[in-house]
Parts: sequence; C-alpha cells; structure tokens
Amino acid sequence: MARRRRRQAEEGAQGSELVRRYSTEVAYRSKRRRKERRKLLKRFLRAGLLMMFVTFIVIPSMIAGGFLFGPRGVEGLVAAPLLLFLSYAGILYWTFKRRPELPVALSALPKASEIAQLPAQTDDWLDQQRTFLPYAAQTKLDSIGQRLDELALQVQKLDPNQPVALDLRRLLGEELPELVNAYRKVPAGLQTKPLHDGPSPERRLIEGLATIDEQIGHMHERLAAEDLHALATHQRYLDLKYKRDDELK
Amino acid sequence: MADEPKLVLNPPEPVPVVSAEKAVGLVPLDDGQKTELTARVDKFISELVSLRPGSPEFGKRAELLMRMGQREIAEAAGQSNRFLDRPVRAIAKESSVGADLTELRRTVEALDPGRHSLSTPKKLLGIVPFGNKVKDYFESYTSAQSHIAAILQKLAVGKDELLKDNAAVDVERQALWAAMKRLEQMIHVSKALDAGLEQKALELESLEPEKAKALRETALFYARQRSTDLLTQMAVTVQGYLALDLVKKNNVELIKGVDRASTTTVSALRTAVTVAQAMTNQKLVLGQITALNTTTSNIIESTAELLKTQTAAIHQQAASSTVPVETLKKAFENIYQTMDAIDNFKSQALVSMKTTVDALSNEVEKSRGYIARAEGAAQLTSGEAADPFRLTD
Repeated sequence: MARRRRRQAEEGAQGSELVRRYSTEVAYRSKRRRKERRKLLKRFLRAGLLMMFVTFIVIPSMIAGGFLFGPRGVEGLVAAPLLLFLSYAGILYWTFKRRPELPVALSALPKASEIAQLPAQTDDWLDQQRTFLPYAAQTKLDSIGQRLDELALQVQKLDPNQPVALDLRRLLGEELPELVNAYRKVPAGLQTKPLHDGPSPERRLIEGLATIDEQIGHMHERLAAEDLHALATHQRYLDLKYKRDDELK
Repeated sequence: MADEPKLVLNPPEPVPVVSAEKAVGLVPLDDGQKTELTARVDKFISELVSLRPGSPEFGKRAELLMRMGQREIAEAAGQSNRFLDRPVRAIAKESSVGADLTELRRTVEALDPGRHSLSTPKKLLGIVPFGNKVKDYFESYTSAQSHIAAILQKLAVGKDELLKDNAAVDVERQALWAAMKRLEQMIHVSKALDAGLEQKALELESLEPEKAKALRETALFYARQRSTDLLTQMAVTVQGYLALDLVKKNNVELIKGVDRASTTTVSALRTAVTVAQAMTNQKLVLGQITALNTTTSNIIESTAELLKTQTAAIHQQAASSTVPVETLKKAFENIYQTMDAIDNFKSQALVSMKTTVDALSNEVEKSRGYIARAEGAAQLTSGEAADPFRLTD
C-alpha cells in the first residue's frame, strides 16, 4: 500500500517535472517564434523605409532635372519608373537574400563592433540552419539560442583583445559553424547511420552542440566574473575601511 | 609628546619557493569528500579492468586520465597572471603614496624651527630690534597650511587606494583558496588512482600479464603524469596565495605609516599654534589642518584618539615650558622619525617583494610548460565520454 502510494507520488513528481520542462520549452518556442516574427517585421520595415527614401530622392530629382535641363519626353517617362523599379528590386534582394555560410566574416584582428554583434548574428545564422538539422537537435539549438540571448547583453562593451573575446570569436565564429557545416555535408541517407559501429553523424552533431552549449555557459560565467569580483572587492573595501574592529568587540 | 611610542614598521619576509610536497595538504579535505572521491576512483578502475586491453573502449577510458583535472589546472593557472600582476603593481603603486610623503617632508622641512634661527624669544627680540622674526616664522605656517592640507588629503586618498588593493587581495585569495581546494581534490583522486592501478596491475600480473602491462603502460603512466602536473600547479598556486598575503601585509604597514605621518604632522602644526601663542601672543589660525581630528573618516579612530589626548599634553607642555621652541622641535622630530621609518620599511619591503616576485615568476614559468603539455593532451582526446572525475561545485 505504502509502496504503491510512494510510487504514485514518484510518478506524480516525474509527471510534474515533465510538465514543467514541457511548459518551459513551449514558452521558449513561442518566445523564439515571436522573436522571428519581430525580426521579419524589422526587415520589412527597413526595406519599406529604404524604398520610401529612394522614391523621395528619385522622383523630385527627375522633376528637378526636367526643369533644369529641359523635359526628357518619353525617355524620361520610361527611365523614372525603371530606375525606381530597379532600386526596389535591389533593396528587396539585399534585405531577403540568403545569409552567408558563416555567421560573420571574421577579420584578422578582432574589432569591438564585431564581438558586440557576434551572439546576435550567430543566433540569426543558427535559426536559418534549423531546417537542415535533425529534429533531435532542436532542443540543443533552443538552449544555445537562449544562452546567446544572454550573452548578447554581456559582450556589448567587451574589449576585443581580451582572451575571453578571442575564445568567444573562435567558438561562435568558427567552431560552431564548422560543426554545423560538417554535418550538413553528410548525405541525408547516411546521417543516422552509425559510423564504424560508433555514433551516427546525427549523434555526433548533438554531442558537439551539447559541448558548445556548455562552453557558451562557461563564457557567460567568465564574462560575469569581473563584475562579480568588482562587487565583492568593493564590499570588502567598505568592510576594511569602516568596520575595523567590530569582529573583536 | 615625547613619550609617544616609536613607530616600527615591519617588512614581511619574502615568500620562499614552495615545493610540491609541501603544497599538498594545505587545504584539508573532509572525510566525506575523500570517501566519495575514492569510491569514484574504485569504480573507474573496476570498469577499466573489465574492458579488453587494446580495444578502443579501453583506450578511451585510459585517455580520460590524460585530461584528468585539466579544468582545475586551467582555472588555477588562469589566476596566476593576476596574482603575479598584483605584487608587481604593488611595487609601482607605493610610489604614489611615496611621492605624497616626499612632498609632505619637503613642505614640513621648510617649517622646521631648527632651520630658522629661533632661539629663546626674549633674546632674539633683544638682539634684533627691527622686525619680528618669530612672527614671520609663524606666519609662514599660515601660507603653508593649504598646501599641507592638500597633501594630507592626497595621502588619505592614497590610503583608500591601499585599502581597496587589500580588499581585492582578499577576494582573490578567496578565489585561489577555492581553486586550491579543487586541486587538492584532484590530487587525492590522482593519488588514489596511482595506488589502485598499481595494486590492480600487481594482482593481474600472473593471471593476465597482457592486461597488467596495458594498465601500467597507459593508465598508470597517464595518472602519474597528471599527478605531477597537478602538484606543480598546486605549488605555484600556494606560492601565489602566500605572495598575495605579502602584498596585503605590506599595504597594512604602509597604511600605518601614512596614518602616523598624517598624525605627527597635524600634531606638530597644533604645537606650533600653541607655541606661537606662548611666545608671541600671536593667534595662529590653522583651521584647515587643526580641524582634521573632527573628520575621523580621514584618520582612523585610534589616531584621532591619540591626537585628542596629545593636544591636551602639548598645551600643558608648551604653556609650562620655559623653552617652548623645544616642544616644537620635538614635534618635528616625530614627523621625521615617522618618515624615516616609512622610508626604511619601503626599501626593505621592496627587496622582499622583488625576491617574492622573482621566485613566483620562475615557478609560474615552469608550470606553464606543464600546462601547455596538458592542453596538448586534451586536444588529442575528443570529448566523447563524460569525465568521471569531474568535480561538482
């Protein structure tokens, strides 16, 4: 009786754990969807603004040109819409064109702006890779995405020459893309097949993503270390300065 | 005034090179931890022995030993730059307080009654009928006071810097202590592995000589190598830990010196106020400086207390003394004595610090070789199997 009750309680606990995990996952997924929508909206907005800008430049300058150098007749009438149409096409192409193979083109010497944008760019790039990666890897990708969000805030003022910045660059800019690209090169039929009795490429991808996920977590801690130290030091300083012999009294 | 205790600043002894054997056991592990770690080692050995030597699985398990404690070493080594940096900076830093002290000395020397031909006031007035030399002398205090007050303020800021430095040292030492604890755990693991594998190899010698050989040549070999690496890193970390203590002690002594220099200066100026009153009936207003005992934030409590009691004594002495200038001279001597004590301390402490830094950088350099090897080994092994000796916080 007691055993059954205990088992029921255990099952209940497991169930609620599952529910909890599931609900956080659902929350994260919906958050991600919202983020994607926001990103798309931003892109549309940018394209729209650019198009408006071009329109306001091209049409008045055509009219001004007509006044200054005399009307152009039919040629002008054709050239104006053609120019507009071409610039619209250009803007749309640059806004929605497919992203490059790597999240960022890394320069030989790291720049501050590059590091500041690295997490967000990697996140974008990883989102585009999702469709090519197995379903089993999605939770890991979610986790990496979440960590990248946190990291994005931390790297804003990071000195690009610090070792941690270089490590971050290597991890996000080289090692992660290399892993994903290497997996994508494996023919679809072989992705789930164990290699030499070892793990399958899919398994290896997931393990690799797990390692990277963990490493990003370490970076997060390393980046916070300085601030944590600064706070601890200042509190200790206040102690040393104003609380001299309280412990002895 | 005269019976004020002589200031003695003790430069701490330099930190010697810590041998690996001595470094172990500094951070004690509790029995619970030891049993848990030993149990993990036993499990690992029995798993390893159950595998066929020469199989990739056996190789993989044995290679785990190659990167055993890698994170702990990297973590502790990461701090080595910081603890090496701090004593070096400390040597440079003293100069900022040092410059202020030198300036204070220069300013104070200009006011020294010994340098002005002040004998007893009556006689002087009798010889020199024109002008009033004593009056002029005391007037120079008024013009010097804002300069002295500024220096004292700067010294107070310098003192705060030293305190901040010590706070940072405390925090760093705490982090180092934690790192040392983890290293100690890994050393315990590596020693247990060494003993366990050795024994296992002996047991298997007659039954399965192949396996015994494989155990000795791979697992035991790696475990011993890592033992050395861990011990080397531990020794360096302990040395850094002690060096940081040296920085802290130095700063504490220097703070004492700065405090005393400020007190003796203020005290001398107060004496001047009283002596001026006694000798020339001149009211010397040194408000900027004599108010210092009320702002206790600048001066530690005990110093403020000392000042308060001294003020009464000076008053009495100067009033009762037939030669009030002597009291003033003594007050200046106190300042000089303090400054000399600080200078003496600084030159001795500098030697101590240099010896420590040299010894430490040597050891850090040596340990870097080991770390490079450890990192190379880590790159050889891929991160497939989970590290069985991974420490949890």
